[in-house]
Amino acid sequence: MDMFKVSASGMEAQSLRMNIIASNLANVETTRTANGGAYRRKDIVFAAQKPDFNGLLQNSIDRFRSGVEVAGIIEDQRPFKQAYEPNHPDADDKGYVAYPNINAAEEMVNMISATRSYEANVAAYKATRDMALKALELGQ
Amino acid sequence: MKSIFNSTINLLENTLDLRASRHRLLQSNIANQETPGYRAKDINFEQELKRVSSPAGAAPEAFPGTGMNGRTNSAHIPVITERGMAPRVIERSSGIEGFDSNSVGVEGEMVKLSENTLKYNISAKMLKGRLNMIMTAIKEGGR
Repeated sequence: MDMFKVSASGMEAQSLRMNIIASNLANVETTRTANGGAYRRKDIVFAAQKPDFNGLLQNSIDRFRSGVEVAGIIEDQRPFKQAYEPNHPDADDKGYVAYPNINAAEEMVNMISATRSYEANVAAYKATRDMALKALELGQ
Repeated sequence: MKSIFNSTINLLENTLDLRASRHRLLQSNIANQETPGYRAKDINFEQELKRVSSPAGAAPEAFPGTGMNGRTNSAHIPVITERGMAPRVIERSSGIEGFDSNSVGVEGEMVKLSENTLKYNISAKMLKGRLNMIMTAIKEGGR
């Protein structure tokens, strides 16, 4: 895996995470989904990429380094928030409405974290590019 | 006969190689800063540079302690395999491990990354200067 792809994988993973957070925030009060019931909070799971066959054949550095990949998107199993709203069309027979298990503050913190991680990957990418350009200058 | 590419150039070449290797590892650490279970990886730069720069240090030590590195006669050319040249990767632990046992501290990684990039650039500049000196000797020496 070349030098640029590792940072690119980090950026991709973080922007997907940002998508998930945006979806959670957009659906913070969604009580109807295609599966029925309220929207469940989504979360993302990261995993280190396994080195490919070529990487294993290369010298030891390429066997130890890895990009990041999204192992899966999971649904948060925390219980829904119950609110007593008897006039709501999605209220149950006792008058309670199940609202998504999303905490807006938590999502905002998650979002800041994703932004910072993305920026760190951009900085690493820029450093890589600077180094490659410096190596090119050697021939001049 | 001495080559015009003297030991300084070799040293700078090894430095650049090692700095590039270290950069790859730091980059991987940054990409995996939030991967559960990922351990921060690094190389001990000074140690590896010493190892690669020593005359037979690059050869794998088949018989450690004999100083022969697998040769039966000291006059034989030492075997230098690419795998033998590869620096040893160590796993770093930091004091700020969370519950997911990820040992990457992103601030530390960024500091190391920029330090490493800066030193790479310095070495590249020095190598360029060195090559320019040889070029000057070739071009201007005869005048």
